[in-house]
Amino acid sequence: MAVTEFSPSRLHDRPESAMWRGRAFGLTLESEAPFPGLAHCRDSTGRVTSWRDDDARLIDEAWKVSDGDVVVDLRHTDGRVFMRIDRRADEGYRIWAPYYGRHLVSADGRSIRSALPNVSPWRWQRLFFAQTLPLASALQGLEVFHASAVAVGGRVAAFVGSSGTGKTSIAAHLVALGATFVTDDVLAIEAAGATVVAHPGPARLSIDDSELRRIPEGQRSRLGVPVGRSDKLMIEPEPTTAPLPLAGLYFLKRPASDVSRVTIKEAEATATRSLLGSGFLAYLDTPERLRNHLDVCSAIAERTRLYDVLIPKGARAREVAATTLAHADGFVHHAG
Amino acid sequence: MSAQLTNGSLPSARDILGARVRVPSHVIYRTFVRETVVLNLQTGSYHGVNPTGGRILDLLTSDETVGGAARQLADEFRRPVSEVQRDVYEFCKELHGRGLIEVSLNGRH
Repeated sequence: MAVTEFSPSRLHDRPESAMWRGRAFGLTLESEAPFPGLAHCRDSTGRVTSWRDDDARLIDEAWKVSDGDVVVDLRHTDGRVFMRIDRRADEGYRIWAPYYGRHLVSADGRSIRSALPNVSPWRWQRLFFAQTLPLASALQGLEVFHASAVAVGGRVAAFVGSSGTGKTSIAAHLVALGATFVTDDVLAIEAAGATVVAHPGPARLSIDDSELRRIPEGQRSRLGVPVGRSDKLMIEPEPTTAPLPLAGLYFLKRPASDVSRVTIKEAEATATRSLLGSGFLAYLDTPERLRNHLDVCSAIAERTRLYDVLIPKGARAREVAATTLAHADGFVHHAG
Repeated sequence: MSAQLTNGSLPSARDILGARVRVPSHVIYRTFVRETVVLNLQTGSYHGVNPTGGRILDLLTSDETVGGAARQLADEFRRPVSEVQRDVYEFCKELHGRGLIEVSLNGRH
């Protein structure tokens, strides 16, 4: 006689096999329908986050605007809300940006409920990929950094730097020059045994039109197809589909007054602090997250290479990319 | 009688030679290539310690008394013990003042 255990409360759940699964930032996102911008995957191994597109009324009933502690409150110059993130102990986070939707992320990062605005997916995905999914990733134990990254020879080179130093532009030029896209702006890292692993982000890259024009026409197709446009053009590049070992980090220093051309050298003593300061989601400051951040930074410093990229005033991203590619090609193969 | 100093000022250098140091559970430290980073998980504050300080911290937390750690360091760095004792004491005072170590005067943790 066959005996099957079942739970009456789950009889009406959608069968697990019917769920669509995609991957980014080290998470498997399960949703009822395909999620544009995520690489499809068949299995749900590793860290899984379920995503549901909910009615705005249900989201607002579950979490009123006045509830929770405000941990991020970004405003336009005229005082309108640009983005707000609230935290409720044990329950999680609410991320809200007008015209980009609102998202409830559970405290363990395993569930996301979203109320989406009636706009093109690529538009609301900007908030989802820039804040919501990285938060779920961090809550599930991955460490997220403010960095862009490409793969060269099966290993990842990441670019860290303050806003405006050209992380995205350099990554775009590198992809045009033959590197493989890994992520734009947010990089999920995991210290796994003796290796530091970089997880691919979603297939999205935002680039200035002027920067795109600097890429030779014959190489632009390597970046992928445009999916939308706001202040920048959003492109869907072909990303690496699997996590890869992190070979090194490049700290972008712009402008560097003591060099006349792009120069790469071993990182200075301040690299430790630059690395610690490049963590993403600073508001996520629980003891568990702080410990994980320090551990992962320590692993990166110990097991990968750290370089400073000195960029003189006026140097183009193309020049930085070409210099970096030649450098990365050398050390990646040496390290590999 | 146990005398655990978790905050406030330390006794004199001579008085803590027999003491032992421990890092409280809410403080962790990791050694990087050029510095050791001490992190208070409760406050989120980071503190940088140079490689020599990192070595002192390692010795102090390896069940060594303050005096024992100073002797070993004097041996390693080939410096007079009295000089190293002063340095170790100042280092302990600094970390203790920031709440990053606890000092047990009776020599037990």
